[in-house]
Amino acid sequence: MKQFFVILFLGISFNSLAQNQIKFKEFQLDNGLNVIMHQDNTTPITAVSLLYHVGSKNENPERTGFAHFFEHLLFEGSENIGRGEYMKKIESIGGTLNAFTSNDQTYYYEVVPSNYLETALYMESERMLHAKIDTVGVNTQREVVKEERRQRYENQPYGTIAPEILKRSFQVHPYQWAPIGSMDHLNAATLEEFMDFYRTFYVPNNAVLTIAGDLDYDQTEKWVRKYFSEIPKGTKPIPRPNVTEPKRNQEIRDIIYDNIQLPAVIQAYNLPALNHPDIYALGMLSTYLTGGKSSLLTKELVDRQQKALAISAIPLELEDGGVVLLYGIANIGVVADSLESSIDTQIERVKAEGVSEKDFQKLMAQVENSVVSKNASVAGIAQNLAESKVYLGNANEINKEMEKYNKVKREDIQRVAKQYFDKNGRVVLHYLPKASQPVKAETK
Amino acid sequence: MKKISLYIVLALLSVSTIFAQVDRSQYPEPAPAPEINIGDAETFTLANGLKVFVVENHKLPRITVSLVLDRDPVLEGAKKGYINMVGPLMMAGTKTMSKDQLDEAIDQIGARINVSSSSASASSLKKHQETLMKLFSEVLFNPGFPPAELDKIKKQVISGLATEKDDPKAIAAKVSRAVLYGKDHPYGEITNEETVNAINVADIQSYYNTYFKPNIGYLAIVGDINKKEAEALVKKYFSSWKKGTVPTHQWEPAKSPDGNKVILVDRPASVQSIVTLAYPVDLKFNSPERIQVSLLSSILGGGMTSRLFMNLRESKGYTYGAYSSIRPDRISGDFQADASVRTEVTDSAVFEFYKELKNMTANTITEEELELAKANLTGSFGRSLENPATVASFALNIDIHDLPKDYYRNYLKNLNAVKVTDLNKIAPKYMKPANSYMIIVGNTSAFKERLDQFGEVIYYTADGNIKK
Repeated sequence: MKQFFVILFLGISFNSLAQNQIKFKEFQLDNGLNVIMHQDNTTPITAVSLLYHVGSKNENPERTGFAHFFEHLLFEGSENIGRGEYMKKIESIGGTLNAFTSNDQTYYYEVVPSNYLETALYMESERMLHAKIDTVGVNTQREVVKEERRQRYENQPYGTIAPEILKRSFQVHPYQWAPIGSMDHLNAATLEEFMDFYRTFYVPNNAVLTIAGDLDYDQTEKWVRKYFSEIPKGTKPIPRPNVTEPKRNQEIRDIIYDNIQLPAVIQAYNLPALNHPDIYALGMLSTYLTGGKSSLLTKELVDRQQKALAISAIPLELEDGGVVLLYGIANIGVVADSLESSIDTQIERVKAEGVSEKDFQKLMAQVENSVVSKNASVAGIAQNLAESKVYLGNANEINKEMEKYNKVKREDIQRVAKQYFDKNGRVVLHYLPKASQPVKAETK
Repeated sequence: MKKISLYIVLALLSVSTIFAQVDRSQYPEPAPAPEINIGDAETFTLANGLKVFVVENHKLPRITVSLVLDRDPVLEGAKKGYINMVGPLMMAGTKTMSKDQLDEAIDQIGARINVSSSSASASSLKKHQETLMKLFSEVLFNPGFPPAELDKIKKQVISGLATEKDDPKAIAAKVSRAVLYGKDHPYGEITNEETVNAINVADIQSYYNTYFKPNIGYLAIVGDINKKEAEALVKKYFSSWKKGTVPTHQWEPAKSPDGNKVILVDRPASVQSIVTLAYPVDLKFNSPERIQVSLLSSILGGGMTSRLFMNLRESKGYTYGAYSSIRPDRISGDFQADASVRTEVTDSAVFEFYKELKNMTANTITEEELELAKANLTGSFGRSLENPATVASFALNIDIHDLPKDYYRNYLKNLNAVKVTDLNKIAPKYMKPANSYMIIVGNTSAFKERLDQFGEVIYYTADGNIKK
């Protein structure tokens, strides 16, 4: 038997702004599956999750929406678990389950009473070893996904912001389409294409299995080996985009007419890759702009000038570099241009003046609160461990978040504002009421 | 040579034997069920009548303080909307701090403070607990009610009303309330620009002076704190809160409609219809049938294996999700089932909703469904205990809703004692397929002709009025 790799991290930290340490053990199977375990016996529940490192960015541009659609299909069953049985079994043991797909990953999880941990491991191994997908399932889920798209995007005021921003912010990189993808592409897809997608991406060497909660390390490892060792390593190359989104020198600006009453202004600025050290200063910049009622944009635009009903900076941090959205809804009677010029004035202020020492201390307190509050559930810990492993290269990065924020200096906030919040490289959308649309204008 | 190859074969065999040991044809046997422990809340009462619950949990170095005021619903009439402004105005400055100063002070410690008309909460890291309590008590006991801030809040509310006009979910919620309770009931009143403009600072002050009293209050402190410490903090900051007489109000429960009514709200831009089936239900929090009702509700529309979900999503592909719930209330509870379905299948979805509801009353609940529902509710009960605030809310609920003292301790036992015959017997009392409102927000011109088969069709406007 091969020696396996076990690391045990002990929580020791001397920093004043410190986070609670998450202890864990990890090992790798011969087929390349990375496994992370975190023990917390306070509540008799255990979270089991599988992060497959495949998202919409790995899709063929002619088959967008595949990763997300596949997420739906993976609930259909396996060689040993009949159609519809997967959800039923988890619920019948008192568990809960769900999954989501992003631009970078597809993430599945169950939280089960801890005495059913082996069952959950068996079930996830079934999906990885031999998921069973038939045309009935494909046809039904195709309709379900279309309804998901209608519910989230088309029937929802301001619902299309994310896809509209992505397609302009990424001219080259496959982040240009949203995970929901194109319905035409899904209509055209064949069962064989789905099976090929499965054989390419749903392989142990492209996944991280994380188990967190009421568990015994040795027993858990035995079960993992029992159910996952026989799954063959993937043999196909895993397509990953190797393009870099070039820096743009010209602002992209558009108007979207939507079924809304109040205009909205959305600005999007491209971010560096998720593992870039500037991500932390940029996160703090977002907090400085809209985190808390005393934040710069909230105070100025919502409170003092009353130009906005609400404003928020939403960082979409992605493996190859995402975007940060500044999203403001105008107060009644305020036009989009007026709201936007006020937003710009404040951002220029940050670039010119930076942040005060007092505001910087406030930012550190806000960041500390959110880092400390982050790992409150075993399901959340499982996800954070898995994502640290995949995107930052080491699960223990979960314990270094505060340390990285502590490295950010006051001047860095101003520097990243200047560097990344560049007017010439941004995308600006004005969402306007359809009622204000010029009669002859073309709809986007 | 032969020997060697035999060894290889054996070696191969042994490898495959190891794999063959994994019996994938059936589910693994579970380990013995773990014991579900419900922690205890420490409790004490201040001289002014404020009841305090403390749940000590040291997992994260933070604390959360929550206040609940237990008052009867209040009718707002021509000034509908003022009660929702109580919280925002209390957060808009105190007698000693301007809104700017208050916002700044809260963010300086990375804390959160929220206030509404009948609840409030504050949370921060443990090390800031003293400052947190100081700010929280300042907001609660020393509000400034600055008139200029009320003008800002009113403008925000009016902008919010504008966004709701095009939001199908908001429209569905508003019309459902108006239809179920009528506009002269505290649960059915509708805020509009006119009622907002009629509100002034005195309305908010008078509400505050009447209802912010410790003798109707429950305070829960959860987190990295022990009873002694919590008691000292509460005594320091909440003892001088003066008690007073709080008026009570009686309200009639909502009445079920005669027959089925189909309520249509036209939103021509819609590509999906939001279909909501609703009717009033008499279900008090301490009803002996509450656990049975939650099982019924779970079977019909509780999760990803419920009848509604399996039919409308997994079998028909009409929707991304279909769910139902039955809400207990001390005046008037209600049943709600809903789904967003594509416009073309609106009438088919309506048909399926009624069919499923009718089916529930026809002695159809099986042993298997009951076991699944029990597992579901047992599981979610167990998972809820991961959050230390759950134990505090248990203690609060027992007091506020007059539940038996051992309600939660016996919850799983009582849940497991429910029999199929019990459920089939009470189903007709809670499932009303012939006395309900079917509220549909969508592009009605595409399906309106096909809906009168289900009941009387009544048109409503998006702001909750009958369309003339």
